[in-house]
Amino acid sequence: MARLSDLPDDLLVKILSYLPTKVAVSTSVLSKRWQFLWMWLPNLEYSNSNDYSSRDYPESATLREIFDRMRSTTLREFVDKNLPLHRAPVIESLRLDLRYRSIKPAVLKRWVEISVSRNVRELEVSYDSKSKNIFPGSFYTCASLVILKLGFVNLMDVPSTGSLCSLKTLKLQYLEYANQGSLQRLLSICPVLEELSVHFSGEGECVKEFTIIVPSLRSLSLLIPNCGNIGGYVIDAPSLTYFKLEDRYAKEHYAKITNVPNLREAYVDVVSFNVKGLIRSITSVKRLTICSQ
Amino acid sequence: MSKSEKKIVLKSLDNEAFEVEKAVALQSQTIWVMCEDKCVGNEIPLENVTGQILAKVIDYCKKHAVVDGDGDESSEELKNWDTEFTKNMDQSTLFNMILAANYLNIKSLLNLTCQAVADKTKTIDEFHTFLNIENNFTPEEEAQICQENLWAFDD
Repeated sequence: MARLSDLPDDLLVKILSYLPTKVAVSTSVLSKRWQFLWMWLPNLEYSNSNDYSSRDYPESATLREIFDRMRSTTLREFVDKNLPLHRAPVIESLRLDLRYRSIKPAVLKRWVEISVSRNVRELEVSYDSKSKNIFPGSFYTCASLVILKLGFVNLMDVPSTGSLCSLKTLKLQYLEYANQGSLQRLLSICPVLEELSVHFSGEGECVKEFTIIVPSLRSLSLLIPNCGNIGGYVIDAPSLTYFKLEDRYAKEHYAKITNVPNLREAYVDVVSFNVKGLIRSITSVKRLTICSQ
Repeated sequence: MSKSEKKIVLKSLDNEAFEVEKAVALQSQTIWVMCEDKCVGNEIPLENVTGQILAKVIDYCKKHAVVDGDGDESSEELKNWDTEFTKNMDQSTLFNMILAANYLNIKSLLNLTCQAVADKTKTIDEFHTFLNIENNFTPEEEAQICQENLWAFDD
């Protein structure tokens, strides 16, 4: 009869990697053999979101506030202490969902820097950085990064000398763009990007016009809400095969889609502009869904 | 290719012989390497796997070979089949399957079986119970680890 203790450490770590990070860390109390096993985890996920469904929370808003703040502090102390000591030579994925309760931008920057030094392949950060930068210089030359998903953070000071030379998938949700050129500059340092998803927040948006010129891009999903001040955009993506456009912006603006000879499937949900003109520019498409008023 | 060349015989630790299609067996990187090694012939001894476990591994490989081959079955159905496959395995069988998948180097089966153990143990108490791990900490040591890793225990 096989027992768990018959498995070598690397297989135990593999089992742990399928558990939520929190449960994996809690195995440190199981026995001496397990105490530091979790520190070899290739994937780490830290969140300070309050999960009200799973436990009894106090009715009082003040008490909830105190609880949440304590939980957030506990998380920061834990990650701050353990991430620099993490033993896995490569961090396959690091997910930081820190939308609730403030952890300082400088702390986030430190964590991102550590993950870069551990050759992170997939990085996901949801964090309202309140107009502060959370990306260290080393981040923009991270050669190991394949998947990057950002939510709410501020994108500023993208160096034109950077190179995310392995990045294939980029997802930007409700980012704060420090200036008009931030998005373009980021795209320009991703030479092998295949999948891009950009959802604009519309609030305090300083992006008025943008251009997506990415020769390697295969899939593009774009969401423009009906707020902000968009003048228009240009898309030039010769390898594009899938395009989803949700343009809810009601005021007059231009949408120039050129050079998409390989487009096969498109989903178009627009409110304001000339749909005919748009369709004329995507003649190679084999499957088209239109939602328009 | 003659019929005999397409088949291969796998022999378990307890001397049970299984004749299988080569395409089925070659999902195991270990067997693939052994087959490349010409001196092995048509019968491959697997000294780390019992017949009972090997039969299950072959079931898995057959299912996945068919699907990879003609693409008839949807990935959804395959996923359901995988779930059913591990659903009723007891702890000992699961651990033996993990060891076998690791030894035979079948990545997808290793992922599936490790995932199955994790799925059965979502909380620390379940982990204790399911894995039956003997705690060799003193209460003081245990309390200190809890304190150091407070984040994991603050619910």
